[in-house]
Amino acid sequence: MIALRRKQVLIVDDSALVLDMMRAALDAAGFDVLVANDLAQLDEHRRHHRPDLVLMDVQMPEAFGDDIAMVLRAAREVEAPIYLLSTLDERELERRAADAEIDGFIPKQIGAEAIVARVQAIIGSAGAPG
Amino acid sequence: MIDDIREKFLPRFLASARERLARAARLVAEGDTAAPSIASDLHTIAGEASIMGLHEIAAMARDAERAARVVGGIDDAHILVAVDRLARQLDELAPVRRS
Repeated sequence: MIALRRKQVLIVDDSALVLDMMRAALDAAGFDVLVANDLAQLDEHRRHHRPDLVLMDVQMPEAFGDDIAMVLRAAREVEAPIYLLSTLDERELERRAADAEIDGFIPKQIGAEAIVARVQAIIGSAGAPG
Repeated sequence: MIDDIREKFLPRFLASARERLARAARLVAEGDTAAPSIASDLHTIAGEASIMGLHEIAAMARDAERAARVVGGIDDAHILVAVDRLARQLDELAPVRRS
């Protein structure tokens, strides 16, 4: 029997409520979820896991998410697609994602259910052979 | 499923948002130096409401956040009105139990 590895999503956001709710929604949809509330947790996950997708808030107390994403991508420390997840205006998100040379953005305004659907569209919903 | 999750997290969202709005209202009296803190609280409410699917509250919080980020000084009256409207909207969603 082939064991299936659940697709893993790493979410970075300074709101514990956003992290908990997105973890519940993505877990219910069959994803394995890692959450990081700050840079220290992000660094810990980056060193020990290889997520299939990273969702990054933009306006956080320690740094802007697009700046963090740009550094991670430039240093090739995260090879998975990185998407900004924010309430910022879509044009600004598009510009920030392009400037950071990352994969795109998902507006928080679409709500948890639609965000889960976008994640499924980006990395698929089925587990990959592990 | 998502409705169950929303239902589960709604009380926590309401408690957190009310606390942030009360702090924002208090901070307005401190003027420009408090603007970043006020904007940050309103930004968090907007993000959490968006994820919850509470679109009207999210839009109101974003408007209030923009008022707090006005360059050249915060518009006290605008922010206080926006904070009050947000608080009343939360009360419509779930009235506060008063003893």
